[in-house]
Order: sequence, then C-alpha cells, then structure tokens
Amino acid sequence: MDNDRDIIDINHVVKLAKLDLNKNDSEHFSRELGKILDYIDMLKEADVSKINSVLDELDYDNLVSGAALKTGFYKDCRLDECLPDDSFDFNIVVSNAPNFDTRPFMDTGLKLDSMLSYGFFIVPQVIE
Amino acid sequence: MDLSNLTIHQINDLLKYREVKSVDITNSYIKRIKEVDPVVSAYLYNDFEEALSNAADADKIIQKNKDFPYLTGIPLSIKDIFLIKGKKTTCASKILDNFISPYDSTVIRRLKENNYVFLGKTNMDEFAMGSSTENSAYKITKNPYDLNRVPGGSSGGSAASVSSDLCAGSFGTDTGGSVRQPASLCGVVGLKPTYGLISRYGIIAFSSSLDQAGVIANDVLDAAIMLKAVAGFDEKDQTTRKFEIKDYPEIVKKADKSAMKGLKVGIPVEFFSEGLDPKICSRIMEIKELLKDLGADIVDISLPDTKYSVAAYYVIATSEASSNLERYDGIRFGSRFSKDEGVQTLDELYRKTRELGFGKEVKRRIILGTFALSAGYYDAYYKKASLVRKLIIKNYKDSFNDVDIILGPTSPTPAFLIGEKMSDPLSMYLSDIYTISVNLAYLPALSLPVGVIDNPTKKGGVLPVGLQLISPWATEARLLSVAKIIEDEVKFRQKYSAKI
Repeated sequence: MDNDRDIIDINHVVKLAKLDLNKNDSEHFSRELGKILDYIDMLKEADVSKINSVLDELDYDNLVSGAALKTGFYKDCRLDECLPDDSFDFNIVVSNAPNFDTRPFMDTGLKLDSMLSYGFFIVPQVIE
Repeated sequence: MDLSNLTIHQINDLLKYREVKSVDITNSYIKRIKEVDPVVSAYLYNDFEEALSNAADADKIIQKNKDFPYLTGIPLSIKDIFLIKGKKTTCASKILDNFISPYDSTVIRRLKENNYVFLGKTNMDEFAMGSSTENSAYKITKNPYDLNRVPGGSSGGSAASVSSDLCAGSFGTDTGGSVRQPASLCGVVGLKPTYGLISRYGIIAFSSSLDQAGVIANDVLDAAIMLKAVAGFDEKDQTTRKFEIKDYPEIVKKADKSAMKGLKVGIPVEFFSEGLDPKICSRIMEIKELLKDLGADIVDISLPDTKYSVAAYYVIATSEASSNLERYDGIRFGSRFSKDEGVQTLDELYRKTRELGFGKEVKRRIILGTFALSAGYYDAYYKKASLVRKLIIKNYKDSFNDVDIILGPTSPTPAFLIGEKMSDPLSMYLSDIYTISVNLAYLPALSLPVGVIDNPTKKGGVLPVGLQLISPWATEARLLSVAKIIEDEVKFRQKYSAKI
C-alpha cells in the first residue's frame, strides 16, 4: 500500500454522510475503499496546469446582472423565477410522508380550513 | 399471425395497415412475459391492466386518424428510475419500496403524448450504481443468452427485456455506460445521446453531470424512433439545450453505404489495450475491415487521458451521488426504519434509515463521494477530477478535428458469470472502461451488436459482442446513420437471438 495515499477516516465520513455501517459492511469497506483509493491515486500524475478551472470561465458579473442571458453561452437559460405549478398539493405531501400529523392544529379550535395546509413531519427528539 | 420478435417499425406497419390491433400486440407480450419473465426476471413489476387500457386507447386513435405518432400502441418497458405519476418507483432500492410518484417524468409525459403502451418497470442496479444488475435490492436479472450470466448494468432489466422479446423497446439511463454496456452484453442496440438532449426531469438522480436517459432497442431504426419521441429542450430541466431535433427515423431510413466513402473513422489505441478479450478484439477488427471495404479511411488516434477515465469518474460520480442521495432520509417520503430499531433521536433515525435502506454498493459510493468532497480532500479529489475531465474532453475535441467518428469495443469482456465480480468492486468498475469517458465528455454514443463469441461454459452457446460508436457533440444523425450502415452489412438480428 502506498503510504503517501490518503486513508479514509471511515468514522468521520459516516458521521458526515449520516450513514451507519453495520458490522457486515464495515469489515470489508476499509479494505475495498483502500483498493479503490489506490486506483484513484493515478489522478495525481495528470498534468492540469494548462486547464482553466470552470470558475475561470464563468462571466460572473454579467451572469448576475442578467446581461449574460443574451449571450451565446447562456442563451438557453432562464431567470431563476418560481413557476406557479411547481409546488405539490398538501395532500400529496401528507400521503408520501412516513409520519405526518395535522391534529395539533385541529385541536386548537381555530377555523379548520385556514389551518388545513399546516401539519408536522413527526420525528424523534432532535436535541440530545 | 406470429407476433413474436417484431421491431417497433414492423409493429407500426402492421398497425398502420390495420393488420393487427395494439391490444393483440400487447396481449402477445403479456403472454410471453408470463411465460418467460419468471426465468429472466427482467421486470420488477408489470401492470397488465394499464397496458391493455393504453392499448385500447391507442387503437381508438389509430382507428380515427390516418397519421399517428410512431410509438402509438407500441408496448415498452421502463427502467424503474423514471417517475410515473401514481405508480411505484423504487430505483431497485429498499429505501423507496413504498414510494408512489406524484408526478410524471418528462420522458414519460412525452411517451404518453405519443400514446405508448406501458408494460412495466424493469430491474436495475440500485440507484443505477453497478454494471451487472446484481446490486438490485429485489432480484437478479439473467442474461437471455445464458441464464448463468449477467445482463450487464445498470439498465440490465431493460436490456434483458428487449433481448428476450418481452417488450418492443425500453428506456434506460446511462451515467458511465449503463445503457450501452448491458445492450452490448444482451445483443441489442443501446444509445446514449449527447448530454442535454433528453430531459432528466423526473429521473431519479445519481450523478447529475453524467446522467442521461438512453434507449435500448432491437435495431437502429427503432432507436431513432424512440429518441425522436422524447428528445428536446425541457423548461423543467435547465441542463437541456435547444438542440435542433432532426427526423432521426427518416435519416436512418435514407442511410446509404455510399456515405462511408471517405468517412474518417478513428480507432483509439487506448481502446485496444490489455484487458480486452482477444475474441472481442477480433470481432471489432472485422468491422474495421468491413468499413475499409466500404471506402472509409481508418485513422489510428490516441485519447491519452482516457486512462484516467475510471478514476475521474469514480470521484465525480460518487461525489455527485453523495449529494443527490442526501434526500433519502426517511422524513418526507420513502421508507423510514425506526420503530423496531430502538431509534431515540433524529440523528439516529437518519443513520438507521440509510443503513437499512441502502445496499452495500450505494453505501460504498456515498462514503467515497462524501470523502472526496470533505474539507481537506476536496481539492485533491473532486476539483482535480473535474480538471482531468476537461483533459478528456479536449482529447475527444482534438481527435474529432481529424476524424468523423470513433469506434471500439463497448465492453472489454462478454457477459460474465453471476457473482463473478461481486467480491471485487474495482474489477466491476473496470467493465465500464470504454464507455465511461463518453459520459465525462458529454458525447453521444451507440452500442451495436456486431457478432458473437463462443460461450465457454455453455456448449453450443454464444455471447454477443457490441461495437461502440462515438460521434461528436450533438451529431446523433451521423451516429445513427453510420450504425445503420454497419447493421445492414452485419445482419446480426437475422443470424442470432437469445432463443429463450
């Protein structure tokens, strides 16, 4: 194994990815990921000195002002505006959710129809 | 009437001349699926009621109109990665096993506008991560040419369904070769168009700068028909471009071998290196000779930075995947694993849901991607890989100054045995060595079955060999024409079939 090669701190990465590994998985993973990282290491030899990064190619000032939208590169783009039919119906949100509750609002005695589009995704405690 | 082994254009002729109805065609596929799919396992699920209803609607349209869209009444299978309103889409993952989509993907919406017939959703590697369809959380699909071998992946179910005549055509997705490689292993045509030609809206995202919908078909004309039906700018996918969508079917029908005279065909030395099965190499060389005989100029070229393709891909694709798969958290949709697992906090809920909902390969890639994007490693991995990607793009751009089209094998090996590569992820990744650089370069490519080799484990059996054609950015017309000319000379479909 190449000692210059980075070693994945799996415990740190699983925390970032919010992904537990069971015993079955983690046994093999370090070894397999090590092999893959050995392979990916070849990217170190690639000479990219003459390549501009994408950031160098974007015309930021004009892009932000909207002037760029008329130029060749951006002519297929549109302004970042919300379209009216883009949101899901409340019922769709409720039917897809594993655990959703509208009852807390219904018990308050407030006018039901004005409260119908509110509810909670029920989850376990957030703060330890 | 024998309704087996028909292409889309053959079915269209029968429907046009009122010789059969779509309901008859559909019933024929339904019967065959019931007989054959328990063995091949191409489908995750079917909806025969829906299929017959679609077919009846198509028949009404055909009855009332002299002209109707090509795909009217044509039964197709759909990789379980395309969202269909009101239907299950699992992406072959446990984490979506109860997910009913609230909307149609643009591809499906356009197919509906063309009055297609929906037969069912096909099996795939979970979240499109894999080259064999063995990573599905639900079942293993078999290669119709040899049931002990893989159909390829990740669109293995789609390729197997076309190859074993369980549909007239299929839509899949291709991120690193996932339409072309299974098409090659199953002896059918697979096309990945230029990035931005087909909308990704409503396609479950794996790696957004690489993903592209693709078509798997019985022949080049069918591929052209399917492509024309769904291609084109979509407001809902800002990575689609306002390309001119040509009449691909007409262009294919008019393709003539005289067009090969003087056509410059590039053969990259890197596509014929160690690791390529020598028998596959022979088949590809035969095509080279065939093209020479037709008057093409064969040019040796080099794409030196494609040696970094697999490495760059496994940084870029896994990084983008680690971000795209963050949404599977058990909160708003999909599965949630908490009650039986003693989950006490929200953080545990996320971690447990994802531990139990995702398969091994998905977890492997999320971890790799998260690592490549994390503080301290981003520059060395993701940023470096993105710059190497530009080297590869330049290799192709420079080569296309000298040649009109590039060819090589689609896959370094024929279909391998089920289980053969599962213990060595890296060897699985290397099955995509010829297809991956094409996605990195945003180019269009097609896999065409051009011959077979003997099956070493099945007496008298054969395994298909796929030729990959790569053409410059946004030149699907050229790609399809050249493929058609080769197809007419090789006559693969007349000579070979899966016999299942």
